[in-house]
Amino acid sequence: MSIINGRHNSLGDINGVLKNLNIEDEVDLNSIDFKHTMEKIFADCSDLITRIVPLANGEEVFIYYFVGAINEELLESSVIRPLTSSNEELELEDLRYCIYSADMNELKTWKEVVNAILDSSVICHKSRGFPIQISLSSQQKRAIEEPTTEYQVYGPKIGFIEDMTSNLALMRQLIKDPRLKTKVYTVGTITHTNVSVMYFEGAAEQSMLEELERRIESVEIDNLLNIGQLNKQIVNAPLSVFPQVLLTERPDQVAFALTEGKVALFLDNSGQATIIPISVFDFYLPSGDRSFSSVWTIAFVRALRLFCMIIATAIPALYVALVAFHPELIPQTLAFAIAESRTQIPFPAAAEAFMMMLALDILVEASIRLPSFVGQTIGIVGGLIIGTAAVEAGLVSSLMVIVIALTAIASFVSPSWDFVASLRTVRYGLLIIAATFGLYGFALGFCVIFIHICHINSFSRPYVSPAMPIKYEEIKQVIQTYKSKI
Amino acid sequence: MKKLRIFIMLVIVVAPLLGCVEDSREIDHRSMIVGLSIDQGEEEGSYAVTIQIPLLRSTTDEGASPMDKEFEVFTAEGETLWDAIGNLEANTPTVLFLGHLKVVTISEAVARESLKEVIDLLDRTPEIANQIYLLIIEEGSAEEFIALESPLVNLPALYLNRFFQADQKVGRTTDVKLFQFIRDMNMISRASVIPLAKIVEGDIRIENMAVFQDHRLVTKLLDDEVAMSRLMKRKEVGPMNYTIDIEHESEALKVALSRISLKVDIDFEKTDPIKYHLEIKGGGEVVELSTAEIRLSKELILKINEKMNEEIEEELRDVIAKMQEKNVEPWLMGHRIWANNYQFFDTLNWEETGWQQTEFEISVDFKVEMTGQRALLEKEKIGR
Repeated sequence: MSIINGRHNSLGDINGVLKNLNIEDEVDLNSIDFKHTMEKIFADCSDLITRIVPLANGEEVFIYYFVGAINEELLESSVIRPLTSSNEELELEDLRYCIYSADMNELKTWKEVVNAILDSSVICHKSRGFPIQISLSSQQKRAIEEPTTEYQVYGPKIGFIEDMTSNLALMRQLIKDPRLKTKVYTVGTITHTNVSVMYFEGAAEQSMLEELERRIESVEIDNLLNIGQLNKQIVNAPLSVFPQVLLTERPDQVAFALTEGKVALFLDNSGQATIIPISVFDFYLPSGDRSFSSVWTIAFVRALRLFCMIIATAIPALYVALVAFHPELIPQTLAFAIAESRTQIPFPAAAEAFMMMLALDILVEASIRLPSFVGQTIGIVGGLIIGTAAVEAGLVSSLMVIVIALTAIASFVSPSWDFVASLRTVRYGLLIIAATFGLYGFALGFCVIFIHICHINSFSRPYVSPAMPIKYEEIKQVIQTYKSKI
Repeated sequence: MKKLRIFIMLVIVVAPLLGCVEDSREIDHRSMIVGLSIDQGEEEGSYAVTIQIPLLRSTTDEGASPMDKEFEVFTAEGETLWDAIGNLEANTPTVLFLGHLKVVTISEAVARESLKEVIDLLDRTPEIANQIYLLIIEEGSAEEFIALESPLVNLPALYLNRFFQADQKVGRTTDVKLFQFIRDMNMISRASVIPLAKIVEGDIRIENMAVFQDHRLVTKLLDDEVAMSRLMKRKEVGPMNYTIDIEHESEALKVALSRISLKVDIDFEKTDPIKYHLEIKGGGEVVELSTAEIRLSKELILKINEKMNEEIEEELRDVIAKMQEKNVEPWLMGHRIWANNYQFFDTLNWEETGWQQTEFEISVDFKVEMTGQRALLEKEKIGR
């Protein structure tokens, strides 16, 4: 039963469909009966093409396929033309002798037939014989382009696309080693989506691979269309606010992860790969860092990112706690500046912060889904409204604008959008508790967050590793990355 | 059952937090007091409390002139200090907030008679930080002092705050914070010091220190006595200035020294009366000579060293004698004996006669470290 997509009633799998239509498991050998059953299964599927090809011996071959899913030119040249031009009795008795294709399978059950035609294959059937699956797939796919969600100054300018085989091929280009293994699973009772698990033999832990296999096989979902759906079903704590897998569209990021003993998941029709297991620090360690020639630059950039993580989470809540509860902790001249900036503001600091954060998130959400030229306009208009007009209208103080702007900039320092979204949620939680209980609540909120992230694991790896349990060598690697781990 | 337990635990954890919820008040809804002065009231036994509150202007207020006053002072009287502060609330639209109080100025009259009550109030009020500066106003009222606008820093309280925070100042006073005063008053000698300030021709002047025993002003440390007092208490002092008169080549010469730093090594003999050995070492820089033609020779430097040794010893003996005369010991010397040699301390009768009879042997080793002189004296042209 699937609960991911909000439905409580599963649509069932192909076996259930065949059962509902009272269709026997074994295929009909009579081509007319076969045709009728096909029409029954694929009723109201106008894109299913049925072609009848007369043979020299007077028999007919029925060809079934979905329009657009196969290469019709190839069908013409490698299937239809050989069939119509052949006169030899032996060849015509068994279609496999006269069709020019290396990838052919004989299908014996209706389930196999249905799966084959849905997998962009051509089905050929002649009376007295089993139907034959011919792979003439012609799936639409875009060209490999630069990743659009993970820009980097240095590093390769290639990203994953929605075709899994192309993505796997990209990985083979980066790691030319026979120890790079892939295992494919099919998940989704309706979508039959292929999930590929890629790992580096010897580096990845066997126990983790077994656990991952167990979890993938136990996934119950009808329509697996997005890698996020799969991730939610395989992580340890699906209700946690923090992501426990790292989504990336960069092959180099995956390659580094694989050589570090991590595992990558690829999904059909998904332009991202999932890396597991991960720790919270992995969200701040993009592969492009390794392009810097100085270890100190890497150390500085990474320390800056971690510092920004704290700022992005805590600053609005800390500001509200200090302004509303503990102004004595603010340096005197700053306290005067804050008080002066708030003299004409009609809202309490908490409401002011909440409004600004909401405005910022609305702006972000609005600009994400719009075309880039409209998005820029939204950014400028929003920036002007939030930055200047709101202050001049006396709705928010100028210091609050600085606080929220700093928060927004700091949160986008994280290379992972998934993690940015999590920090956004945490920020609201901390703001509410700080606005209610002051600095004490703020400290308590941080304690809860720390307890939570110390509690969760990404598979067998603690989420705060290598900070806890402390591993000095790994911390050194995180800070400097001056040599490869493998 | 488990959920109930979690709920109860949550209530137990959260309930104590709720205590501070009612304290929540926006920063602009508080009257931030930065300076507070305490004078004697018109009625006998009453107090006049003056508070200094900065004026908050909207950041978008373009009509404000730079010459506008930056603060306002309010005064109220009451039978007790807290009554007076309570009466002040009638003058302000928002609640009084003492969390940013930096300086408390106390008139000399209050300091002489009822400093104990003032310190008690400051110590008891939780909002008041124990790091506020204390200041005794010598001439005029404390109210007048706190209302004085300095052209250097807009807020008088901030002026005082910055004055004391400027560590490198070569002034003749040093800051005393509330906790330091209370701490020293709780020591064996029950003595402490507070800096003195006064208004001279409309300007703020902070110099000299008032010495208290049992919360009563007993004497004042003037000019260089302040530095010697600091040396005795903190075992080091600096940077300080000093000017000496010496005779050189039959001419009277004034030598100004600066950035002088001294350290003292204190030891004592277990005799009756107790005998202290003070070994002072230090150095400084010559910054000015009254006659520019005179070059600093080794001979002259030795003369300066000798003169400084004499002067420092004399200054130190004077200030010790002054404190012994008043039987007040604000340098925690007795307390150190009390803490480390209690049985010996018990034999000294420190508070009555022990301190007054204490003998001192002082040795000073001062060295001029820098002369500021650019050219070498032995400089000769090459080839001659």
